[in-house]
Amino acid sequence: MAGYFQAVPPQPVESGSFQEIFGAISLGGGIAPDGHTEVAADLPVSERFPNIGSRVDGAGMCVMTSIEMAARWQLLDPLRGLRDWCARQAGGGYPEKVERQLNSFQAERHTSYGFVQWVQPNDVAGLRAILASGRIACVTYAGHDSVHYRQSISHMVCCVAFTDSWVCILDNNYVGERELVWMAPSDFLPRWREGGGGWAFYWTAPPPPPPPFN
Amino acid sequence: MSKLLLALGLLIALPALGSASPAWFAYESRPGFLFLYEGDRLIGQYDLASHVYRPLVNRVPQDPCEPPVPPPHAGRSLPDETTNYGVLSGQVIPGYRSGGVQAGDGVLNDGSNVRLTIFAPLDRGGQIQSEIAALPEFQAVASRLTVQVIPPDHWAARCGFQTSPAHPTIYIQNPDGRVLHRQDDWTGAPALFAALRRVRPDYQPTNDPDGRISSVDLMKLFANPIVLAGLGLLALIVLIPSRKVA
Repeated sequence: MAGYFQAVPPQPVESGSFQEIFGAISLGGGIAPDGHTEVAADLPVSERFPNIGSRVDGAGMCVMTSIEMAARWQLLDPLRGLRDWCARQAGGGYPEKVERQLNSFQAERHTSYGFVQWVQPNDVAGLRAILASGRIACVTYAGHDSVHYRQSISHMVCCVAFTDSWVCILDNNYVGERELVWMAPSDFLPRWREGGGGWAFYWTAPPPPPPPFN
Repeated sequence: MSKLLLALGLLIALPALGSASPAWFAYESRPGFLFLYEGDRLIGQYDLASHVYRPLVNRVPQDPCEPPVPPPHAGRSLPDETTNYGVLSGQVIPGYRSGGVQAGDGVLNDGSNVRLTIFAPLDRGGQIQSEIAALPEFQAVASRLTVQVIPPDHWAARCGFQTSPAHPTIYIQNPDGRVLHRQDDWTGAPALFAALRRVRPDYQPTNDPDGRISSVDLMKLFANPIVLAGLGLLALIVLIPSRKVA
């Protein structure tokens, strides 16, 4: 049994970045494995909800699930029910369809909340700026992280942190309190760009106020 | 002296007790397993196929037992067959951009804004927000102020804010969350703005300095009588020879 773990990454050493030490994509809560980096968007578990299939064709609704969770974070409560409204149509999402559905839904609800979306796999600065402002970025994600997925997938998730050292995603297939996925930016970016991705979406409304202290 | 040395010798270095909570990790090189770490110490492994946890002692698996922290996939198998969760990748066109506001318009530059939050039912909060928006003094600082209305029973109000359904509560915070002002009533927008000025006297956008120096600015500078007098005095000091005392 002594050689049982030879395939496991080496034991932690005294120096080096967390990712160098562990080389892992990990699951956790609102604080990174380094013990101090926090998510920029700490959406309560009560406001998270899982992905479903469209009631018309069963196709996944990850795009609108992510977008509605982002709306809840940014206090756009009149948009509650957006995902389920869209699920009454054929599933699957892409940018033009998102724009069309959002315009139709907002017309019904008499709202006009602004949003921005782009498909630009090199616009990392734009992605980081969203998180730096405290907003959620809805991003494409290709999986194969051995945490939630063995294989490549076509998926959209919520990015809730993006720093120099850490990216954290809230996956609408796993919405538990400690099911956030933490990884290095170097692990996240290829998964964001893979398969013609590099798609990002955000609501322009401001995030909620930070917790008070004095 | 010996007592002093003894006292100095009694250095008690309490080790940092910041042991990290157990956390699960996965490795691409070991699919089908999750590994449990406590800090940087590997303490267990979980087999996703058999749903069996084994503690590890010196990296040797022990008899199965309940894990100290439930693994995230306990009782569930990793999804394998379904690979598309709702993104029609073939219709995601590189270079696409849309939205009511273009990135770069300054929408994402509000991270340094002062936060003014009205905790009240939406209709009452909306009235207060309208009064604030109508005050010219607030209009002057609108670009640096984020104003929101949040009902007292909203999840965002339960993050440490002291609110009540019986009355509006107004918070003014720095971007990091530090509370600059709080009031548990509504006495009008002018009073609130006066409070804002008291806690942020620097909040005068008309005084924002323009860091650029133009030739016109330099001309204005040298036309200033005080500046001219100062330059004249400096010249006198430099040009008048000093007396040497024999």
